[in-house]
Amino acid sequence: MPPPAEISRILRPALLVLAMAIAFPAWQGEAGQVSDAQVKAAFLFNFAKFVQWPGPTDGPLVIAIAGDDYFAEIVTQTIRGRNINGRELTARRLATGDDPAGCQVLFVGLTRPSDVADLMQRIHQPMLTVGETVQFLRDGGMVRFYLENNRVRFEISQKNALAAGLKVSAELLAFAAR
Amino acid sequence: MEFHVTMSSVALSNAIRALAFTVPVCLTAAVAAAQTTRPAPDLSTMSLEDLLTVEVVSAASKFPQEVKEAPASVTVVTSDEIRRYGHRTLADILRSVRGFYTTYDRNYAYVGMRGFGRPGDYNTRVLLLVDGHRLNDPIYDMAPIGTDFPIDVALIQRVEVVRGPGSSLYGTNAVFAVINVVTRTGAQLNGVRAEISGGSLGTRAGSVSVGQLFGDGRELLLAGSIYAASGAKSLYYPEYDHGAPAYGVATGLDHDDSKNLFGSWAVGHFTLAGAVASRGKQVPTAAFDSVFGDDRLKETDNRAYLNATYEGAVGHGWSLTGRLAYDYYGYEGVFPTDYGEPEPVLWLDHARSHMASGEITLRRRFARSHLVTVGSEVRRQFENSMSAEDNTGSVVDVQRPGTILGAYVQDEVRVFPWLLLNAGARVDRYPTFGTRATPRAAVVLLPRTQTAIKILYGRAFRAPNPYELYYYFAMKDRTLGPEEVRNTEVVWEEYISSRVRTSVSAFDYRVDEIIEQSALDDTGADLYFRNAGSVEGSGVEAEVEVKLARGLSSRLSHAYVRAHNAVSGVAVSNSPHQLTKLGLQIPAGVFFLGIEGQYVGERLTLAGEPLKGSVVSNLVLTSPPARRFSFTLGLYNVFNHSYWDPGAEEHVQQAIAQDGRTARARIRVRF
Repeated sequence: MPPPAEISRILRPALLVLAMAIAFPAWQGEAGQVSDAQVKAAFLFNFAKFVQWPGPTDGPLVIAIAGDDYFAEIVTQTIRGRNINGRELTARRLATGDDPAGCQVLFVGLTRPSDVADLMQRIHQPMLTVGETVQFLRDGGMVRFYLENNRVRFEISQKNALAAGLKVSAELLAFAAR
Repeated sequence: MEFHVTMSSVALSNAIRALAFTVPVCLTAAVAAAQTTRPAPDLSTMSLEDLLTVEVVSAASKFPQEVKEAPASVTVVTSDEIRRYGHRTLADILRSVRGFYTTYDRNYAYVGMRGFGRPGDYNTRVLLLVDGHRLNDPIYDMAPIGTDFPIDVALIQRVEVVRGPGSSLYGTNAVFAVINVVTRTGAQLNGVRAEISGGSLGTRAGSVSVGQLFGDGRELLLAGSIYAASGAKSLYYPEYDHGAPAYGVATGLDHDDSKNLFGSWAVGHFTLAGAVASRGKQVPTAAFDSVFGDDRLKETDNRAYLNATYEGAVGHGWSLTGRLAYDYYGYEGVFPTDYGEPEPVLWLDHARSHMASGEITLRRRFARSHLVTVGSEVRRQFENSMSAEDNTGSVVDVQRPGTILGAYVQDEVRVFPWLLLNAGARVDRYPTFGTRATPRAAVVLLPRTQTAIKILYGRAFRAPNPYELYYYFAMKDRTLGPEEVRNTEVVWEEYISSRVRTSVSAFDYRVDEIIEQSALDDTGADLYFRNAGSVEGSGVEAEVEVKLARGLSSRLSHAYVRAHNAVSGVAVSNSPHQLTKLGLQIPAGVFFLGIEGQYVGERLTLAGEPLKGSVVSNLVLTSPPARRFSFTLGLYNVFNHSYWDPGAEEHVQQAIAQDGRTARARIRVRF
């Protein structure tokens, strides 16, 4: 069997150049492409408009994001300077172990079921919980994002929302997928 | 057969080359990342109705917090990657992971990492889990990563590879890595899918899967698949070329077939999952002193399991994971052997095991900064039977049931927001050697949200299995203790932006009391096992990963390791010093082009002969999976590079030739 040429010697630098060439389009930046994070952040902002929390409705409306620092950044950008019904919107990044107290909306960006259950257990006030894990609604979550045909969809568990004392307007329920 | 001896590489120049490799890519990635953070378009003014219509180009992957803060170096391979790189088996998936390499002897696929991949080792030092359920069988401790893996690769949601000793949580086998395969759920599948595929070497496969999400949140998934490959038509082994009649050519002896059934049912906090799988491989290499060219040489593995899990909160801050499982494993081997009689005698080997296991894990947060995990596991093996017979009757007949108990505890302490301490230990009790304790400690520093520095120390063990303890007659007066591993590692992970990740790790390990096969005399008739070897290994690994919203993604890794016999200092066989992997996912319109290049450095055979390094490149084209019809076209070993993997003790061949260029086409229909 004839010995193959020292392919490794040639291919390795060639692969490196190829890798850099591939990363090159990134130099151009993205133009007009929307990420799912941006759409979800916009949804969060909208959900706050269609949900009624019990008790006093003044003071800032805090959206807490757990387990996804990048998404926390996107949410901060999306809600900057906005308010809902006169309430100022703020975003708060939750580190592991932080208490979600004082927040009205909680986005659970965690993936492990035990971490999700752990966080959900530490909720002691009416809070709109939004997540993405497959069993999020079964775990007591209220809204779940998922992707279908490259579009962001969501499903709502009205039962879980009512159990926490939250009222979800019929309009939002109508737009929920299931 | 000629093995070309390459010039020995200078360690320093290799380290420099490794750096020269990754530094420019890191810089490119960093600049690219800086360019791509543009202000978001103002979606906040859009109505709900309009938001539902916005097409997102593809899911921007996250770098999960759990990976960053985990007390280990973790690699996650997603189903998108598996599909776009055209991975056909778990072995293909592992080959793309930094620091891993596989060996194939036309029988089973073996995985090695950190320079440790002893030929003939049945993947006993890697713990393979499916949804947390242990797959290493109780008799041979084998982790099935080839076509013997009982789950269809298309059903995999993701593969979590956690490097380093995991015995402090999982017990035996978790020596070098814990690989958890997470399967898709019924809701994720959502519909009916049928798939057929065909390819080179007479490969044909088909599968049907059904997934359903019911109104009250219940999910059901059912899937079945079959696979058959004629394999390489003719394989030439000069070691067996003794002239007529075969001239060392094994014709039509590489047949591989498997069939699997998988199902999962989820309701509320309960999940019930099960699988039944069977795989038979004809062996063309005449391994185990068999007669060359006999088409009856075949090994068959049968597996079945049923696993029920409860996962949820149980009040007062406690969360519970409870697991009950039943496992069956069966093995059949047919070995045509030359006893000096006119016709070969069939040596028939059987093994069977039935096991029931249960595990409870409790977690609770204490004093705000402590997350404590406590758990306990029981594995009751009702039947561990091994038997063998030839023309004289029964030669081996062993039955050794046993019960294994384990208990573990772990505390994750957030001392400061930037400092995590993780300490844990597990105690296992075996009927054979008694009790073994394995501790682990980790310090995770998070000086900024984008940086994680991990200092890890862990111990692991690998218990002797029933095959090693009881199969050979010469083991009657002998005992075996577990293998012990000590591992120290430092990892630095940098999440340059949400889309760019780099990591560098350095490790040092030592494996002692390695269970090795020996012979009482030169005839090889009286084989036995003993705790003999010691291997020391140390190395450096580096990786860069770039994921862009368009789906464009590249991943480049390099691993450098030196492993040697700790006593004699001699280099270990099947241990490549260098492993380089490149992966590129390039969107082309609605399609994706997946390109892989994998370099495995020079390795030594068992006899100490060097095997040249190899580069294998793959090219795969995939169409969007969400459509009614989708396809995958794959070309593997695109440049038809010839390469060999080292043979094991059971082979006369020092090295076994691997496949050249192969193609695979897959068509999927959604209903």
